[in-house]
Amino acid sequence: MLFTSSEFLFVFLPLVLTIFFTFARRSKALALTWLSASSLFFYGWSNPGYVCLLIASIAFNYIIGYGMQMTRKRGINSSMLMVVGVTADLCLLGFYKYLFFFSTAVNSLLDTSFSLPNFILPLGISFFTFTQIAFLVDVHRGQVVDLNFGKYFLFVTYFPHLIAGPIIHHKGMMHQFGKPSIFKANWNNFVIGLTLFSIGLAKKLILADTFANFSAPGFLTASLGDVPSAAITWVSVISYTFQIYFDFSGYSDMAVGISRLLGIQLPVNFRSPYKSINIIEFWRRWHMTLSEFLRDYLYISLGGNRLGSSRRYINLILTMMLGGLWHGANSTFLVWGTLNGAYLCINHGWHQISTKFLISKKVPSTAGRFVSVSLTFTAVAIAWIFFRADTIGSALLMFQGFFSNSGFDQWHLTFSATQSIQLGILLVMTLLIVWGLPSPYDWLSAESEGVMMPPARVLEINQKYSLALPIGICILMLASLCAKFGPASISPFLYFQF
Amino acid sequence: MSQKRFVIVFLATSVVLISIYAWVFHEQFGAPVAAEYWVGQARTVKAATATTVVGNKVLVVAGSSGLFGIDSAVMEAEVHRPVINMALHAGLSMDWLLKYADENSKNGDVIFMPLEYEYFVSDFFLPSAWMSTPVVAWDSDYFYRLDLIQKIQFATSMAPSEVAANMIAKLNRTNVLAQFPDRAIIPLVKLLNNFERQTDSTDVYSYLNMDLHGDIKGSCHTHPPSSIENESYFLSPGSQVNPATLSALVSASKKMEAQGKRLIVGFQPIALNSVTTQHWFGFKSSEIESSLRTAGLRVLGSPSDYYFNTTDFFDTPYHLNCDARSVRSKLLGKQLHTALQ
Repeated sequence: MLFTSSEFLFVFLPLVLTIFFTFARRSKALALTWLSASSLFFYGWSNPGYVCLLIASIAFNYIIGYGMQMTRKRGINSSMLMVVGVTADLCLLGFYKYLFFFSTAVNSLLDTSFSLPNFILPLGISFFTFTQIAFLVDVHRGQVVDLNFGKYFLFVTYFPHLIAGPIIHHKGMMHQFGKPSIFKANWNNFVIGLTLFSIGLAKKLILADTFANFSAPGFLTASLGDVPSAAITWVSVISYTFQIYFDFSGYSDMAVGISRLLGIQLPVNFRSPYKSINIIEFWRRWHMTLSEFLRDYLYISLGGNRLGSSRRYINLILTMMLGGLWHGANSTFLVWGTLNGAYLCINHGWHQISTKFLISKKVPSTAGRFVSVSLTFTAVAIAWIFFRADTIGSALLMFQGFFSNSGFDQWHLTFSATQSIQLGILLVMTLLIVWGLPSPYDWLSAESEGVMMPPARVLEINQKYSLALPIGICILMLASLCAKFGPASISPFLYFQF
Repeated sequence: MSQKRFVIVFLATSVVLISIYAWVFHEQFGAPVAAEYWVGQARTVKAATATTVVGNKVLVVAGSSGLFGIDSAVMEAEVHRPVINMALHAGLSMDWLLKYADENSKNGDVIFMPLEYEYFVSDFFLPSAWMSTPVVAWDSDYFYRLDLIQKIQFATSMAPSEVAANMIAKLNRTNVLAQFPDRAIIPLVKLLNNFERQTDSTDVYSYLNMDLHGDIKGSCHTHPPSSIENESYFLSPGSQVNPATLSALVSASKKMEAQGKRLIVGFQPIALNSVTTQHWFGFKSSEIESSLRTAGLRVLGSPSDYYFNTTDFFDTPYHLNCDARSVRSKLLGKQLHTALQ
């Protein structure tokens, strides 16, 4: 079920909220059970077949986690069990996500012809698998106290995060399921939740879906083996850079907002990433929960920066390569990850040089900031070409397109005059939103640090502008929904495929 | 307290804005926008013709493959009953067609629906872009007959910019009609008078270009587009019969049966080309036939009975020329005669 679908907005969500708070008056356990059942229904809506897989994965990881906890209590090392659990999780992920990719690679390398049945990728498998791997590692590290199965089940299935994140941690969620405050409908939570949800909805339906119309033609031309004209290439790449940002951050804002309606705080996943002055900062602002996962469970486990600078660079590249592969079994994701790993290495190297020669002090701060942000944005946009292209060959055709001397050829065949004006307006709006406005979390919250942020400032704003805020938010929400009107208007989120 | 007020103001604003949009949506109906007015005019004329027939008749209800693909006189000679060609345009939704068939038939009539394949595999609950314009221009009754959920689906299938453009056209009605006089709604009496005069129309797509059975006249040339060589008729290897369509047909059939009418489903003419001669196409069309039969519907013939050469088509891959339509009508007449015995 999509957060933007009518069945979610007008049936599922109101029903879940109403029944949750009604049950909560009688029994907290009943309310939490309702939430788990609703989450399973949400998951099974498009493909009920994989509900059993999700339940089996939860049961398996819980048993392993429980076993590890018992082993630890007896003073025995739980590493073996953790390895079994993590390996099984990775095998499941590998089976559904990577087996076809590897068999194709093996066939082309060894000239064999292994054929495998085509599976439909279970929705959100990367997210719920990573969530549970983190759980097992946390148990091993002794960071897990509460092992209630009902709450664990809800922790994994909780519908706002289940399909496309944010990736959550056991310790950050379990205590929230027991907090008495979540069982009472709270006006403050409604204000914050609705505001965040509306912002996310507008990002997705007004901005991301419109950019999708402009990003598609160039990549489509390249996928057909032709070099797109220069103007279409530039527009496609820039549009995709904004599309993926508004699509994914919009989804994350909606997830955080929906969860907040239930009084449960999810970690923030995006904080104005295109404002970053370098790639290191970019990865602290983009898909923050995945970055943290990769840092805490992969980069540090590989040795991090503890084994010298050469090893650190290797670890960075390896981590980002695997981060790329996490998105899907395609060599384009591998190149995207490797490229980002290389960017990080260059960035760290540059830090060392600039610190040594005091370069940053010699450049005026405003000009330096402008150059840094532009450079970071350009590097990120270049990497997105590999992320979006269907093959490396298509990505290379896009690069050729940048410098082709075809100028505005194909433009009038591809975009109408109205669309060209729409693109101009959209780009001006985007410049303002991306670089001129604070992130919703910075805007809403008095706090700016820490993952679990209570966006409290919206309450202050609401006190001050008691009419303007709800009217504005309502207009934003309805305008977003109106943008969805039209024949055949299904627009899934980009991250659903991961 | 102010947080509670937020929610109240939010809800109140939603109610006000949604009401305004609903009002504008309602007001757009009757706007003189570019739409296929001839379909509405032909519907009115055909409905009036059907009421004049004495005795049990056969009504052919379909999209334009039926409009161009039936020679009612030839069919009549085989089936020994009056035949009226009620077919119009395949852009009209399945529920529209079923309602139209039901309204214009009576006890003892046979409703024969040789439908285009898109009717079987598409979801008519999701209104097409084509469907919204005629409803706005000349058939607001269709919208008002829908239940609440379908009304919402219909309303959300139109982009707000389209609604705004319709509203502007309506507010600017006088100027628009001065520029496009054919967008005016012709009163019923005048429409029927024009038709009865049987003046020749230069436009093939006109209610004035129909004979007294409702068949299109002057479709004897052969100049189908080159795309006929690759036409797939909305079928693909993954096509499935839409359960909603099947269920709508079954319930309409039962309802008609209870009224003493008979609903018989059939198939459109198909051009033999690079797509339709592939194995999967035959398999899929047979699958549609067996789904219809399994659901308990009366089905006339098989899809493979209505294959024609590309040169048998008039101006599109759906429209047979007059010679080929006679061949098809003779076959359909014989099949129908057997089925009715």
